[in-house]
Amino acid sequence: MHRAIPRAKVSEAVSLLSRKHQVVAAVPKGKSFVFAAVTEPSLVTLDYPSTILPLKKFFLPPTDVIFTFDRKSQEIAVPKGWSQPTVFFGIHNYELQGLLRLDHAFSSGVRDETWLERRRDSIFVGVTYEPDACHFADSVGIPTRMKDGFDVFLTRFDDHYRVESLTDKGKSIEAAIKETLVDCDCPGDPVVHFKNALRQSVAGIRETFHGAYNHPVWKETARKCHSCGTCNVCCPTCYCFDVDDQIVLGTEAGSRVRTWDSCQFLDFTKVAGGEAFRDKRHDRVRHRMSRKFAYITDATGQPFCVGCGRCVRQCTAQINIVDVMNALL
Amino acid sequence: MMAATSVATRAAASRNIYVPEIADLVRVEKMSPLETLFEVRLPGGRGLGHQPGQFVQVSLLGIGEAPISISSSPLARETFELVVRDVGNLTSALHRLKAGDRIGIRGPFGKGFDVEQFLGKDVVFVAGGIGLPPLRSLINTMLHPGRRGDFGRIIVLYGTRTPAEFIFNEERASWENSRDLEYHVTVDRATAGWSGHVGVITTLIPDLTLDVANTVAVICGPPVMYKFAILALRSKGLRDEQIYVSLERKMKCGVGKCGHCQINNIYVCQEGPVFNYGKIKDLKEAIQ
Repeated sequence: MHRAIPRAKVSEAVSLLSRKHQVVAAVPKGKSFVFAAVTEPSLVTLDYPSTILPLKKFFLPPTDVIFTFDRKSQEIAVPKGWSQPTVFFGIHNYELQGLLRLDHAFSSGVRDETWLERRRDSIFVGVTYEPDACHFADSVGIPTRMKDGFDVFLTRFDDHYRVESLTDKGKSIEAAIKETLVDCDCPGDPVVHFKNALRQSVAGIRETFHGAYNHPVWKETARKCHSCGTCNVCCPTCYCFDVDDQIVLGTEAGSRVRTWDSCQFLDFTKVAGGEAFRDKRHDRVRHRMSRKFAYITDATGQPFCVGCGRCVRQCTAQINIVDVMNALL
Repeated sequence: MMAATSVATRAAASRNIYVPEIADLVRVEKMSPLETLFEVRLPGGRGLGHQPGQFVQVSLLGIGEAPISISSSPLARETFELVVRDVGNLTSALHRLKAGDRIGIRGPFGKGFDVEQFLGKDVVFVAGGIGLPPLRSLINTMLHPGRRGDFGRIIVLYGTRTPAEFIFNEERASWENSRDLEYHVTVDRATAGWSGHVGVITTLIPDLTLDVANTVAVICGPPVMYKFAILALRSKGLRDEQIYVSLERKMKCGVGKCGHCQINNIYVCQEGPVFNYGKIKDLKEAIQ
């Protein structure tokens, strides 16, 4: 026998968690869903296909003040770091895998303490999901049963979510919501089927890429691509950023901000002298895909794509990264 | 979205890898219509501790940051020099500054030249235009009286489009008559009063007499120059492993995070900007 949250008690569980923690969960926004700090527990859902943006926005905001300054005095003030204890409630496993990959990016080589400090007090409550036409996490080594990194994992059975506490933090979360829990049989793991799938094993992906530099698929894809950068913005593992100074008009005050950037933009590699080092669109398409499946994978052994399917769902040119990958075979 | 802002301590600032240190400009010297030399002193005259070939991120609050190569030798300890071409937003704003003004500095960043690898070797420098300042850091390190005997011949090839773009005129004049190095200069296009060599910099290479087995070459210049310089050096018999290149890329963060300088799987700001050509020759997108 397991413990489980009845579906009707989800908002009550969120309310209980909100007493001690900030809770971030999926809430509806128009016809889509977004991750947001919960202010109205009844809006929280555990049954959502995907959110518009991944969790990276909480740790690397789209516009992130590095420091503020005064031009006259040349004084610099660095914002105080955050480590606000937050429960991320109802998170799909590929989402957390995306964050873990960014943890690697920001801690390897020179450490980005800003990111690492913000990540310190995160608690993750995972939930299973029903793959839609775009998800392909299974193909990149993240089957729906994967619970790595979670403190609590919820598995959906009709009207119940089976609760498994996986860490000490998870046990305290379970204790905090215990009045919502009931006994439940909830045996095994539900079988899920991915409609979007790579036609190769995770191990085979790297091999495929090393020799694919001049494959015609890059130019074919580039003919459709608008270089709009949507795939970068919505990607859980894209973290490239630009740095800009912004001035408060009419004053000497300003701030240096880092903003999300896109390797699909022509200017991304352009130096002051005018040369852009990936000036062809197909060079940029290949670069992004190579970052996902070859460059970082060579160092970590894991694809830097988590199969969330956002770039497929949101591509303004209807490019499916899985089709591109399958064309390489 | 979570947000909490209040003024932090100096300790927090020093941990943040994106926050510059405010330094003094002790000398600003116009070198050519487009290029200016800036001599920079860090707080307390602390040494930058750089390697020839490394770069710093130069900041102007309200304008932004740009990566600039260090053009002075690490042997001068209390200040360092940057030579900046007026070509972008930040560099153009820099050109309006004078001695006594302040700029932000982060770095040094990247991997420069390991001079110990050049011990006993003849070194050919191929410096195209604004490629001279980064190489000057290495040239002056090798020319230092205490170190000159550690190296073989020093051969400096320098080229610009026209004589108007020459920089380091006094220093180069001293090279003309120096026994410590062999200096050859060329311009792509002669203008009135120029009686020297005319032709792109690679035209200086075929006439060199080299002890090929004991020679290394170092290239820095505009992106278009590398392919031709490498071809010319290979024609002299140099192997790829005997050639070093310093590559220009857009570098926003300097710490291997922002992604702009990436060549395939290499972050130029971390593993470069100085590379042994033999190690990157198969890296697509490295040499245009």
